[in-house]
Amino acid sequence: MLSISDFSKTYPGCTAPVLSIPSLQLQPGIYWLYGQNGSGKTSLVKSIAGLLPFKGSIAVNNIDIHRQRMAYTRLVNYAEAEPLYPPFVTGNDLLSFYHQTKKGQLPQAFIQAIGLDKFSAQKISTYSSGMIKKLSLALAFTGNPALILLDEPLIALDTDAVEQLQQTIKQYLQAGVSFLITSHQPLNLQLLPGLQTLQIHDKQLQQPAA
Amino acid sequence: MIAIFQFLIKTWVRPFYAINAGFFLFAFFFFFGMVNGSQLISYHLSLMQSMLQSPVMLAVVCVGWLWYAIKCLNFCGNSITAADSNYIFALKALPALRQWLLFAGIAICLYLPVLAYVLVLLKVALQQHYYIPATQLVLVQVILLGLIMAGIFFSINQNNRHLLAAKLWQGLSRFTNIRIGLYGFLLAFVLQQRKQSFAMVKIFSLLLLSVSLVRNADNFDEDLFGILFQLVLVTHAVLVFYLFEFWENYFSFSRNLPLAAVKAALLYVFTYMVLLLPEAGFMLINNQGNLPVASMLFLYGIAIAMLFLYTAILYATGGNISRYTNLLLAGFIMIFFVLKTGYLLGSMLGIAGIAALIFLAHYYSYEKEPVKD
Repeated sequence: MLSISDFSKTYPGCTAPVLSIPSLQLQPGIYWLYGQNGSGKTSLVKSIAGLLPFKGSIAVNNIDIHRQRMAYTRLVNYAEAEPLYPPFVTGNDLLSFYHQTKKGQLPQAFIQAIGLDKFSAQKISTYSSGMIKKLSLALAFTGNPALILLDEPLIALDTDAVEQLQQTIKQYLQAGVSFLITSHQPLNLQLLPGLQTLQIHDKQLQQPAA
Repeated sequence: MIAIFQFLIKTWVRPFYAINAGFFLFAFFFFFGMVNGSQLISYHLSLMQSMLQSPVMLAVVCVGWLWYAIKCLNFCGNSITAADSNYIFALKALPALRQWLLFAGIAICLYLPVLAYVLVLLKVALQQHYYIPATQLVLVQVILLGLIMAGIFFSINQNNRHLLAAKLWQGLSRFTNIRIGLYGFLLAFVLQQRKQSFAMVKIFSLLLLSVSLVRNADNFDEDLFGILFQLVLVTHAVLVFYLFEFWENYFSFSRNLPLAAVKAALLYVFTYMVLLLPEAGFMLINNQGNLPVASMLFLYGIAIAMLFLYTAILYATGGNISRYTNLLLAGFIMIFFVLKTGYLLGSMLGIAGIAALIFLAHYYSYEKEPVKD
């Protein structure tokens, strides 16, 4: 599903890479990426999402990010740890924008389950951090993704929304969608069967433990 | 009493005009900038006559004034309910009559642009013996001013945080709220978040153009026009930077969308086309035969291409402001020679082509450079 080779990420002004991955192959499923603060989890996830430039190659279902960018970005969705959206647009504006570009379906059931439909017509300037987080998660489930990257999806969410999120992840998993999740909070293993772990340690990614 | 009035001027009236500077500039341009200077008075006289003669026209204008009154009231309502303005409720300690007088003064200050126009309209009505429409006009203005005053008074004295005006405004917004799509995000940002900068840039650039096209129309100097045109472009570099910064701060997630770099480039180009319309309109209206129409259209195209080039430079330099400003100066010199050649179409295409190449080469690899101490 996800293949990475000769990956290295170096930030401007730095000489040493924050993370290097010579080779990685992940089968479809759900992965929990963990590591200490500043270990490079978000850098890796943002690189896979296409938000950061990097050296090397990343492909999902054999579609390379550099060679087939449009097809690749239809397959990979991403929800940021601390999403930032323009204050003057509404949640509906962004949902519609994502829907038009990603194509496919809006996650209506998830939107209703977390109560996003009750405030999505309001401008984002009126949202709390939890409401913004809910919007970013709904955007990540929009379209027909093969891989969804969730960076710290549990922070700022209320307990009901956390449960709804884990249920939705389970449903998408059953439909064949893979997940790569970074989280400092423990994930509910009962709700997410088959969860495998990946650890970033000392600027290296360790292969999943069986 | 005067001290409180001055305080409210500072906290309500000045911010109201500052926040709505873009709206007022647009309205001013719409009413006075679109018409040739020599026909301005006759145009407005005929407009006023049609308001006085046609009850339908007058009713339409009254709806516009009502909208503006609600806008004023909504602004006051938001100021009252803002978390950091609980001190406003100290005004309740004043006698009711004094409060009404105070709010009457504030209402007049906020409503002044409409009142100024209505006073001229009244003068025309009385001169031309339209007494009934004149009476209607006075009544409407009294009602609208009363609406603003009463709205402020009751929202302060009844601690009514769900002000009627806010509800009215929300109701109106349902009709005026247009879903912002891809091509509207940057424009909405400028018109909502950078109104003051936008107004300043437009006032300054129209003044610059008027020096050559209006004041020196009889002794039109192409070299002077060329230098002023470049200054107009450099002035816009501020807006270009704001737009770039906004897109990269709030829409960096768009790189995770199937949105081609070409489309991102077109988004910027479209935004510049719209933002430069006032200058294009001003040049066309005030040209007085000094420049062929085709040349003006090519100059409009060159202006769009240059702003796009500025954007491409920002992507190429990692958003580094000092390198950006240095390259702006280089662009200033370049455009001077470009205009000197007289090959405007070729220049426009050349600049646009260079800008597109730089933009496409750097859009996906863009990464903000760290700020160095």
